[in-house]
Amino acid sequence: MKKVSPSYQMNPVEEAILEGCLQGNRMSQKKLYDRYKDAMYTLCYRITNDFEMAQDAMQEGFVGVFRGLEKFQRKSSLGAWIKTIIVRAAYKKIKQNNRFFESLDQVADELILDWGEYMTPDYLEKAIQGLPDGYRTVFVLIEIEGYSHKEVAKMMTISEGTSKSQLFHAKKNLKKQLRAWGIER
Amino acid sequence: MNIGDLPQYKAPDDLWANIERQIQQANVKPAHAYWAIAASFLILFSLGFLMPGEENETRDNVIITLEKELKGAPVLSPAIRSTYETQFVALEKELANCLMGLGQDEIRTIRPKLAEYYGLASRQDELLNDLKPNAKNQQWQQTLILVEHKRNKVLYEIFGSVCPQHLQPQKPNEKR
Repeated sequence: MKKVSPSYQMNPVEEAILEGCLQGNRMSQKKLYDRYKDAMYTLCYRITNDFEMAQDAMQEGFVGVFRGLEKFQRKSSLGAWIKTIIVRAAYKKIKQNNRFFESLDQVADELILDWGEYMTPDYLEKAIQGLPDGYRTVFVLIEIEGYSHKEVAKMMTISEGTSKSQLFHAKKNLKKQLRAWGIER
Repeated sequence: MNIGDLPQYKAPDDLWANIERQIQQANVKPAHAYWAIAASFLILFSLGFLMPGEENETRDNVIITLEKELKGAPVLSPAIRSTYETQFVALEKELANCLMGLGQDEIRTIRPKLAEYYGLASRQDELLNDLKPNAKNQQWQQTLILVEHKRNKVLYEIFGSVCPQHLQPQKPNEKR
């Protein structure tokens, strides 16, 4: 018997906004953008580490969102679907700028970051910004956005092993940096 | 500290204008122009379809200014667009509040009406994009009035089917 994947139960307001967007209603498009703009911009910035590139990624990403809305199959939340498109747009920006993943040995990603009481969001943000592109992208997607290695691998067309190794080295770099600042235990 | 405490950045204000322009260039379905709403109000008002009744003075002033603007300039001033945009957003916000209380089944029921509503809004937009050459064309005016009238009707039908009576907005042509 064929298994049918259940469609995601959308929030009614979002459902109405989606309907408006599908009809080409500009106000609905603006509402959809407003709902996600800051979160997506933050994500773009964290991946690209560059405000200008983040803006480019937002533009390309959201144009892709509005062009592709008819293909949205409700297998996930609308927000999750949009996020995937935006992540791809941001990742594309890094690649266009020849900022590729470093080739690394596959390692386990079980390194635990244990920061002490002096850790602040600003310190962590600064440390993340100091990571190379590949490390940072995977760290942001997995540790901050909550994606799995499998999902990250699919989005970035890399292997799960590469994703794991990037995360391992991201954490190692972060540890080193935070320790230098006297924050990591 | 939690990783969720990391700061969030605010998207630049002018970003949407660029995205919107690209959407239009990318030939996404026609967008709804805000000034179009204002222009349709003026036309309906001048033809007696929309009675202002005891509407407040601000709205009268806006309509007078609109008349002046339309005679001289093809595009409405940002201030007037903003006024109508605010009114329209307020109405849609009320609708969104009503929708908040609905279940998936009820939403599914009204989805065709929502689609019809947005379809009419887009049609109205298309017509108003041709405002300048057609403003004096009677057939064009009648089509616009019909579309506008139907759009309002559908909007109030949606309100009527999903909102409790006391939350429903008053129709613009109802005498108080």
